[in-house]
Amino acid sequence: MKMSARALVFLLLFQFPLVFGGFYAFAAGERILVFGRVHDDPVRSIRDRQEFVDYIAKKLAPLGITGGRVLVVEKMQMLAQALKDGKVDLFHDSVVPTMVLSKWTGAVPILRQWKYGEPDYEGVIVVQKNSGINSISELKGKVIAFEEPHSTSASILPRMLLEEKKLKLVPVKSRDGAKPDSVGYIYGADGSGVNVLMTGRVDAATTIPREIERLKPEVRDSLKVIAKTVSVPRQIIAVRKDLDPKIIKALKEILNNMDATPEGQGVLKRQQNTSKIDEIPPGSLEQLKHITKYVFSSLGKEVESW
Amino acid sequence: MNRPLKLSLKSKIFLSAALFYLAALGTLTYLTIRSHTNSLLAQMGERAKVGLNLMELSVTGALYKLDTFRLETIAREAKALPNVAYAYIFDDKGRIVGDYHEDQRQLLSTFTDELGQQIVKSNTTLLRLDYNKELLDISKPVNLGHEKLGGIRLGFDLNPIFEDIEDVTFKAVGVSSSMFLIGLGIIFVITSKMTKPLERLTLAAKRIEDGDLQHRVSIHRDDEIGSLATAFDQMAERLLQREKELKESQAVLRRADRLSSLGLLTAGLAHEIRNPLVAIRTFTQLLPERYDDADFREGFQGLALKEVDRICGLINDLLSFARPSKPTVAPENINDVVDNIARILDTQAKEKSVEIVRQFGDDLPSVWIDREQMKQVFMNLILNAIQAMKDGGSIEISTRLTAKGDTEVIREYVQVEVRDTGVGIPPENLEQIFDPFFTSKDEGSGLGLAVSHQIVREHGGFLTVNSTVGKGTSFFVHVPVGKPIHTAANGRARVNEANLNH
Repeated sequence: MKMSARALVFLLLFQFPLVFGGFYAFAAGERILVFGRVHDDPVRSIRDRQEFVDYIAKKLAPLGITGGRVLVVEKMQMLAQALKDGKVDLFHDSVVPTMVLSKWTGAVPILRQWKYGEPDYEGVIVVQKNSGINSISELKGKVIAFEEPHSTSASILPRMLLEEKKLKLVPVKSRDGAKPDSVGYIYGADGSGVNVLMTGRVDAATTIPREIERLKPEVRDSLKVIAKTVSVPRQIIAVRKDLDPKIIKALKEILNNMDATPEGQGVLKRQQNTSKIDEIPPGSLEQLKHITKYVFSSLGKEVESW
Repeated sequence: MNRPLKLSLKSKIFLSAALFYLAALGTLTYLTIRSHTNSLLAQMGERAKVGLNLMELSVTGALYKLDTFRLETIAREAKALPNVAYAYIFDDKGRIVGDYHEDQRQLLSTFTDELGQQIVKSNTTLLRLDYNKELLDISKPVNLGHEKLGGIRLGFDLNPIFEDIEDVTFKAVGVSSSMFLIGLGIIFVITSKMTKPLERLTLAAKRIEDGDLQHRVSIHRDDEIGSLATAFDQMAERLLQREKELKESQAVLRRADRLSSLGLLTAGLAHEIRNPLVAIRTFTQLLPERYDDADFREGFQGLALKEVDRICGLINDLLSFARPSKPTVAPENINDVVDNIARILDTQAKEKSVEIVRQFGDDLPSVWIDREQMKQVFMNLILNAIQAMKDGGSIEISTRLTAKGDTEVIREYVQVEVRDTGVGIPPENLEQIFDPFFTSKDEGSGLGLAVSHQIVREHGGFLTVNSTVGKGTSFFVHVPVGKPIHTAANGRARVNEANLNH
């Protein structure tokens, strides 16, 4: 309790100035390009992206950019505020967070990032082979584990798929909470639905094919994919709505051509093993709008807590 | 007065080797302790860096978020690191946002010490040893991206390290001291082995110098010292041979000198013997005529016996001078020896109108001399004096006790002065008069003074001269008082080193 009180004092003294006052985009004589990121591990987030941001900033030097910085926040709401305040210039994330932030702040998705060398990806629903479940319709009365709530592939897309199949999703606290006329759901405690499935706490789980491939063979062989979601761009890069168009134009040019040089390729590879960055396919934009609409209509106030 | 320290060769070698060994051992011990100390401090430094780096891993994220609860926890967990005295986590403005200190917490404050202020500004790892506080202070900034988030400062207690160093120092000094003592023993043995033959050589050289030419070192070794000893023995053998030859030569010279002196005595002796014989002849011729004269017969008998005794005495003196005798050193009264010779020469002196005056000192101590040899000395000096006075004069022979020497060694001598009133010796001849065969006279062999000088030297004494042309010459014979230290192989008395240098 004592420690908590002190922590509160610190928060008042330091946290606010750092988070809000410290999110500078402009400084005397300086124009720093700020890259936003929502994550609970700032160290890893910054170390993974600093080189990437430095590369972009260096290329933007003719436009007055003097350096690059990665700003990591824990909540999407915080990033949204920073975008609104003009303290973050661009960010990247999977489809759903990007579109939510776009909706909140007017941020503009500009490019697709081939994270892990994948232009697109999809979510899958898996069950244990010996579960006797062969299709998602058989999940009625069962419990499914999603990953974190705003995960595109392992939460939003599978939810969309289930609801398209007229399956009602009801949050439960445990496997016993499932109702016969609905599909109960929980979020994977440690961010991995498969782990929850393998420990027998749920009947099904969501993940992505790439994660299944990384499982141990004996675990992988014990799983069965019973459904796949639609495929969506792997990662989207977006800019704040009021960013200088010249910078946006230059940004697109730089990012689009990164894979054309060894230096750019190297930087991309070290940034989430990205193979290239390109334009968002026109069809995908419509799909993204559809997903966004679903998120806000289906999840409602839950989104506000992201 | 400080006298320079005289050390033997053995002592010098031993001290040199011991000092060198001590210096080498001391240096080795010092380097060992220093190396160990540096190693321990380096290990401590490395451990501190590892601890710092480990802390940085968990601090960075918390510092980025300014998660003070987490920072506090991390700082407190730092005390699990060995020997940690304090741990501070500070933000980019230098404010302490997490700390652990046994004595006093400094949360929310800034560092007040000079090093702390330096640490806050530094962009590199700083490591400082404070020997007074027995602390190792290490710090590093915590950066993320291009941003300096703050830093970590750890203090490690060096006391356990110093205790370890003290323990190692104690052991090293103990081992070194033991090694030094053992080494000293070995050096002593080696030095003794090295110098013992040299000591024997030195002793042998001394004995040979003292005249014991029979002495040999007899060291048989296959090294330089063995060669030196062999050469030394060979040299001693040759010296012995040369000595023998020299003595033979000297004997020849002395005999020649004696014969020369005898030749000079002959005339005087003949006159001395003829006068009594003439008197005896005259009485003998008159005896038949005056046989009945009882007074005549008694007078004749008394005169004849007296004159015959006198002749016998002269002949005995002559024989004792001329006859080669074995070298014999014995305590003698120098006045008797001088008087004996003066008596022999009295007649010859009178013939040359020279008066011999005796002024002998009373109560002179005995001197250890070879009587016959010394008689030859005085014979030569008195004869030279007689010959130096063509027109007559006087020879004053005086004896006295005197002391000679330098500031350190003063010895008593019996001094015999033979002073004449002759022509004197020109200065240019003074340096040569003791050389064999040098003479400025028409008669004589030129051996007298050379032989005399040699004899006096062999007695540990010295012979000097003082002369003024036209006025006369004085010879001074100095014979040391006291028993000789030992007798040389040739039987001559040897008194001491100093006397030989005159």
